Amino acid sequence: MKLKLLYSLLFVAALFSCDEDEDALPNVEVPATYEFTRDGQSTVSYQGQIDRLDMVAEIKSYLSTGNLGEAIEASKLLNMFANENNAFISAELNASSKQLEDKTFISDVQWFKNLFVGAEEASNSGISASNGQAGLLERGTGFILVNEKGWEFTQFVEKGLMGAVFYNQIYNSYLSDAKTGDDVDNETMVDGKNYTTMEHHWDEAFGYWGVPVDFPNGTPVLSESEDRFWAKYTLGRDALLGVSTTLMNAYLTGRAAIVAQRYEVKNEQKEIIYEAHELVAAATAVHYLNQAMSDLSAADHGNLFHHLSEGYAFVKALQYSPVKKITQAEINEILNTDLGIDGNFWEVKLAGIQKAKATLVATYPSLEAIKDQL
Amino acid sequence: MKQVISVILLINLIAVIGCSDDETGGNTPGFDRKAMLEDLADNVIIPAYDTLNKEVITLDEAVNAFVATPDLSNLNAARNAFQVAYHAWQRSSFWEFGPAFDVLLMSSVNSFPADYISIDNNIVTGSYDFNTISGQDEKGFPAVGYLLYGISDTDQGIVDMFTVDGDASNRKDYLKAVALDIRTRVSEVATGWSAAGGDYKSVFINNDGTDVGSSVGLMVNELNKFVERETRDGKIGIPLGKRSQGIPIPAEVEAGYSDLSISLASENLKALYNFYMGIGVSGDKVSFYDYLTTINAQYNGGLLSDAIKLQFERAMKEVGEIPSPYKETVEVNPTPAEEAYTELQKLVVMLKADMPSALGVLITYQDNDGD
Repeated sequence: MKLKLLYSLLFVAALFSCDEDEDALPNVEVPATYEFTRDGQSTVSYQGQIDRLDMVAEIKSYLSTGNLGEAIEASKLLNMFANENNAFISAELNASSKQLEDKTFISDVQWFKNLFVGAEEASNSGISASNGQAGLLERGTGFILVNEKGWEFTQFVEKGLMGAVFYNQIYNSYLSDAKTGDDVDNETMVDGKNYTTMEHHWDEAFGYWGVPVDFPNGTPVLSESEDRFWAKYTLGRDALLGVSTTLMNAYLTGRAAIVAQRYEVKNEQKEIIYEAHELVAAATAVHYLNQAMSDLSAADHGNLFHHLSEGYAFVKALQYSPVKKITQAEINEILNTDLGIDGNFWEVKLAGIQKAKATLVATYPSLEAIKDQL
Repeated sequence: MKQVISVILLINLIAVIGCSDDETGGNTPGFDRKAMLEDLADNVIIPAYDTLNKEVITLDEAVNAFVATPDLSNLNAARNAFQVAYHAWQRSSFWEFGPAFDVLLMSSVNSFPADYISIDNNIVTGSYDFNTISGQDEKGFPAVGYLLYGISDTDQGIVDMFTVDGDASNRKDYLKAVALDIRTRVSEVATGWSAAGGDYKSVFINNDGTDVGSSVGLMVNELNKFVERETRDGKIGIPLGKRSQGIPIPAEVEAGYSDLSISLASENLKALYNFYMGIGVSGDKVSFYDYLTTINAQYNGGLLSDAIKLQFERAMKEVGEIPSPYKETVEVNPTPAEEAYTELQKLVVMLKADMPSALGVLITYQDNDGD
């Protein structure tokens, strides 16, 4: 405890002591859009992130053919996951040096592989889904392919990878001190490139978010191809949360602060980004829990499982932040008890969904006023 | 479709913001919302639940009498009680908030069609759990209807299923369990509203704003959702093939074994109309019709309140003219049902777009056509 206090004092002292130096540093010039140049050339690059977003899109598209009753092959999904054996339709993706598997939160890799195997088995089950039985389940005028617990494969994999790859990489890789800490090289150009290492890492975090450079001011805000993953759900919650501008300003300001070498400004933006990304996931989870309660009251099991699948994945996405507000124990309670014992949606009760929602709202107090509108 | 909904939501949002002053208070100039809530509770909602409660007790008793002595006379008595209770349900099925939501009343007592395969299986095994979601269409009125009308072609055959059949004993237990589950849940809701019980009535009356979660907000949302999904789709449209490229699905009708489909749909629509008008045990009191009239909401040069009333009347007329049994009508004579569906569709638009925007109520339930 005493040590902590000492550290804090030292830290405060350090802050004060660089006040004078800061005045000597250039001002942070925040542009209106995510465009940064040096000597007239762009310094922004995140093609690897775009590739990975496109890979998840193809995986989702392939999995959703299972909802139409077509057979799913686990081997194909595993190849897509590791980007091996030209598994994608897109030649560009097959040629890309990037893959998803090695960027997936390490303890979740097997979880996804199990889902791939489960999807193949379910698609071959030939009977409709019931408690303990994987297969097709009626949803509206169509069907969804679910496992024996009622988990919809398409949602679990797509939304799951949004958390385990995209958020995980933003949180634990690119916003970490190792990648964008004050000691990371921000002086020399990366070999053959027009950007510094620190600049590039910040851009890669931005790339995983997946919004256009003029977000949220374009018309439309998101084009059809951009209306996916975290960009879509950030915008989806924006009317009630106002997170689009918060996040965009933080990414823009942080990047500009890196250019200006004003690291205290950059670090402030990181905190904003962590908090706002987490809030989007929590609010989206509440949104789907609300829908699930409505489905449950209408005995609409197809939509219930669909929305629970989304809600489950968005709650799971909360766990990747190293500075998350919710505890891992609370997350586990929601996933393993509130949404059905061991996450078995067939056993879900209204009280459980209500409890999960209450936990989220209590943890993220800004959701309280809008909890029923989400 | 999505864009239309978005625009509607946006309009509603603007409307809500526009009158944010009275979001939580009880003041709309010239209209006392709290008084309307009091009227609706005392004149319409609580009497409807009390009647339902009484009728499901009668049903439970009649079922027990039939099970104790399975004969034709007791079968008829049980069927009569079933018909009366099922009609009472039609008059109390569209307030799925508060106590009703807490016990999942609608999905528990009227998930139709009954899953007769699972019911038969439950009877044979003697093992079932009415508290799981997969149990929702294995109980309730649809299950009672199946067991009292659908398990044999003749009345004597049905009695035999409760006497000489190998699973007669399990079947008796199952029918009793279904009737008891209905009785228990309805009782909880009736008690939940009553001053002596949960006194949800006080909560309801004091929650007199128009914001999300207010009593007006809840009722408008539930009314919409119900007329759209249950009255228009569930009772009429889905059997008619509106979700299946025009191919009718007779097995999807409500009360297909007892052939009460149209009688129930008419009863339901009339009750929705009475609720809208404020007509209940003490006559015609204040309700949404009066609310819309007082705020002078306009529709095509006239009053929106009158336009909705007229549309209700048109829909009631058309639904009433659908020949029974509905499970045959959808295949051999669908035109009257098509006409009824068209009028119900017009009613949905008025209730979903015009009424909420006039009242400044946000429609928060969502179409399930997203991803």
